[in-house]
Amino acid sequence: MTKHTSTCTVDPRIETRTSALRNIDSYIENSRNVDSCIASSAIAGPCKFASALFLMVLFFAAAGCGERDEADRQTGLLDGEGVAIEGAWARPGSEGGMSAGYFLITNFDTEADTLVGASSEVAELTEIHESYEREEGMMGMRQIDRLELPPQSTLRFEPGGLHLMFIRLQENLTVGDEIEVRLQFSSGEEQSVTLTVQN
Amino acid sequence: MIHPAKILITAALLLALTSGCTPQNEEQPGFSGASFQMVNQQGENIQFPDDFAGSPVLIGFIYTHCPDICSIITARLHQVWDEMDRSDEVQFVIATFDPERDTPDVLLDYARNFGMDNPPFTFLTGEPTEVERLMEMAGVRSEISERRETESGDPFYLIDHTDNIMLLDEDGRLVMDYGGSMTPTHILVEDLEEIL
Ligand SMILES: [Cu+2]
Repeated sequence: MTKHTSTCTVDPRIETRTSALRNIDSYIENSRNVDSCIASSAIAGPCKFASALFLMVLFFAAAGCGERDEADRQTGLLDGEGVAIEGAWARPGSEGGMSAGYFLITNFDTEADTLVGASSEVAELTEIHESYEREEGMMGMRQIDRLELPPQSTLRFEPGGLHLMFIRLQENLTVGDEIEVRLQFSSGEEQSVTLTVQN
Repeated sequence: MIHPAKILITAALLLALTSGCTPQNEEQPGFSGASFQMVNQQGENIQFPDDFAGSPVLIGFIYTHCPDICSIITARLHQVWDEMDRSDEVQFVIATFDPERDTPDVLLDYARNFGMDNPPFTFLTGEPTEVERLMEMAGVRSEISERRETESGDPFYLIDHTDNIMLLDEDGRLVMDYGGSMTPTHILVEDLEEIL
């Protein structure tokens, strides 16, 4: 019985466990900030212990971002300029239907930036959304009007959390297709992103 | 900077995640003895769970206008099929709780997008009252959360819903009810292999 590490909806504990998973996820999402905390090496005692533990979690959860982390440790700063997007992809979808888009967005600046919207030719509406647990295991999603990108941090758009929501697709999206999305920032600047359709 | 308390919480959460989940008992008969008149993605009549008797069934509950959470559930069933050695002995079912929009044609398109438009994958919809009856028995809850119009004036709504994947035995009895989207694939594979 102990092998069941999954959640169990009729069990009242399930909500807790589902939230637990989601919390850890969002924890990991926010963890790139923590990276710079670790990198800066100006860490007090308890934080060191915390960081060590957290690094372990990060190591298993966020494998694949090692190169930049290495750079961080040397300079104490994320190495890059402005806002950068990596690993952008979207779900396949049918004309008239929906799709979701995901990516990592990193703000390399030392000042916060704010994502205020997105637009795309492929859908009637392109919105910034977040899936969340409303209550008692009820999952919902909501539109996010403004998403702050703290300085020197990465936010993770990923299944089950933040996503670009494509409402009423104007065309079929099939695996291998590439779609263009323009992200709008509070500064008035726009940035173009190419998402690859995959499952 | 991380507060030590947060680490304790994280550790506790990790422990909680790796602790046990009780299988269903007799109070949770699942679908055994019940029967629902449904329609699959090909528009064919399907009696659920009767038509699946003899095979374990892994069933997920979705609506196709939900590209985030519900896509995870659908893709999860595909992953389980992909990773299992004896997947030909299992039936994989995706049932919609949005029969108004999820017609057989819509489900077929959706299934194709996931490479799941052929057996052993079955997508189920039906008359709204029958779908409602099925969801009630499954303990799947859903309610419209947001209703608005797109620029072209078409009505559009989102649905809040519970996040479920369930494992049924060859007689339609509930073996396990999982938090759908977040359940790791290998857990589902292990549980299925155990009852095969
Ligand atoms: Cu959404």
